Amino acid sequence: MKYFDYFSFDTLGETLEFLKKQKHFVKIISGGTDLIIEFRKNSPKLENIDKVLDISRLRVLKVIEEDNDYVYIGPSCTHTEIVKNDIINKYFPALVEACLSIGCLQTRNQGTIGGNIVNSSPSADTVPALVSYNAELELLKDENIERIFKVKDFIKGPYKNELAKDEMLYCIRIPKDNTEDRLHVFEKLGRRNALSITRISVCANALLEDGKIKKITIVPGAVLPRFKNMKIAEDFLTGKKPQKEVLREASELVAKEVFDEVGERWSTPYKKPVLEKMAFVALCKMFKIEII
Amino acid sequence: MIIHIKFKVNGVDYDIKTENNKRLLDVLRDDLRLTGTKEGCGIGECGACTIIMDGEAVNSCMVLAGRANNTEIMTVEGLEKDGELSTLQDNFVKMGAVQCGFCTPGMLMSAKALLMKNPDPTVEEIKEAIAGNLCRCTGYTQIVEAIKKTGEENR
Ligand SMILES: Cc1cc2nc3c(=O)[nH]c(=O)nc-3n(C[C@H](O)[C@H](O)[C@H](O)COP(=O)(O)OP(=O)(O)OC[C@H]3O[C@@H](n4cnc5c(N)ncnc54)[C@H](O)[C@@H]3O)c2cc1C
Ligand code: FES
Ligand code: FES
Repeated sequence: MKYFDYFSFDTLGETLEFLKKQKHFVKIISGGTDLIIEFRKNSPKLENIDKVLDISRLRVLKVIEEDNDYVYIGPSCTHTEIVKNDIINKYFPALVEACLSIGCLQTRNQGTIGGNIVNSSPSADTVPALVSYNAELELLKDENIERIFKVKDFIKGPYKNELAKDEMLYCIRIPKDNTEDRLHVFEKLGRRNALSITRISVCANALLEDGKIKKITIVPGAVLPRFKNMKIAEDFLTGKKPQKEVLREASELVAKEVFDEVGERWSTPYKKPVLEKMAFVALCKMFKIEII
Repeated sequence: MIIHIKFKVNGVDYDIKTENNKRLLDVLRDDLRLTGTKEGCGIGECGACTIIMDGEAVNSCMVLAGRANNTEIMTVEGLEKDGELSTLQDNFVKMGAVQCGFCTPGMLMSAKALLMKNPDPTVEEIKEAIAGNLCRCTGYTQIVEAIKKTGEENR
């Protein structure tokens, strides 16, 4: 295991103060389910790191609250805590499904939503759900210097994001935006398999009006270097009735948009039909349409 | 760097000084000599190192030593009472749920964490709870049955 010194404080103030004083990058550790593996591997990503800052003691990072406009999720909430939370179940059921799909129970009991976001893996399962709900992140430097990013802008590429070295993720806030009136879905390949590594997913939500799609959001996971909405399919579906043939066409558009962006690779003949099929299954499930 | 950890393990208060660079798994096995907890993969995938921390099953190979400060931990050694196996352990033995035994401590702790919350779980709930515990020998059926039986006896 890589050598590091270990720090942990009782208050947010002391934690931020400590971060500010450091010359080198300090690694914040929350659940540790991503980081400890990196430490054990002596990963080159951690080359300049000699200090670990454990934030798991800070109660303020574990709250889930709501006001009229937003739901606020503390980054240290574990996947299990999110799955069990009534507010999240009410407004963001696809996020609940995404958290439920992660690893096995031990990993969900330990791994946190903040760690999943900041690790910024292209296959981080909570991220498509967060992007589909237009979630934002509050990054904190001083107790009063705050930067806000949309999740989709925060992640810049595989394992790359906007977090500065003296900053921490303080809160994830998701606009309510009538989400309780929408239909939601999170579909993942290899779901409930503790060991699945390739985890293509499709997350979506939609608002219907007079039987037609008024608004729809579709975000795939683990297929693109950055997370984004499938704009072409979304525009195509808006205003239409969710019928099987329409959904099939939309799924083709999803696969096309993704693979136009990443280009042809050795894995394309395998991944493209899988993504297309998954998008179709996800959309049918969301609109409660029988697949066969 | 030496850190100071105060925690409760199997009902006993400990106050220890140890290397900060360790995992909880190492603290349990090397510092406390509680070698019931096993290391299989060391990367969170096999469940052999499962313990219960503040009521939740977690993989102790994924927890830093310092994180355990002020927590309450239960390991497989905490199951028996006065030298007698617990009903859960007894049922594992009776139902043939132990073969080579390497997965058993972790399996028992996942089962225990489930039974603490849900005294009489369904087969589905049992499968979900032990999905992160790999067993190369039994084929899982006997393990599920042993946990189910323990639940039924809790009725
Ligand atoms: C067996 C196994 C299976 C897994 N399966 C899945 C899966 O199916 N889907 C999936 O998406 N992931 C999976 N993971 C990965 C991992 O569990 C998740 O990404 C988890 O959410 C990470 O959270 P953590 O708290 O453990 O992160 P940590 O390891 O503590 O941290 C991860 C990164 O985030 C940073 N960080 C954490 N919190 C903050 C904060 N508040 N501010 C700034 N930086 C912060 C850390 O510095 C680090 O860079 C799996 C892991 C294992 C071991
Ligand atoms: S040794 Fe911890 S999960 Fe395998
Ligand atoms: S009994 Fe051998 S691994 Fe389970």
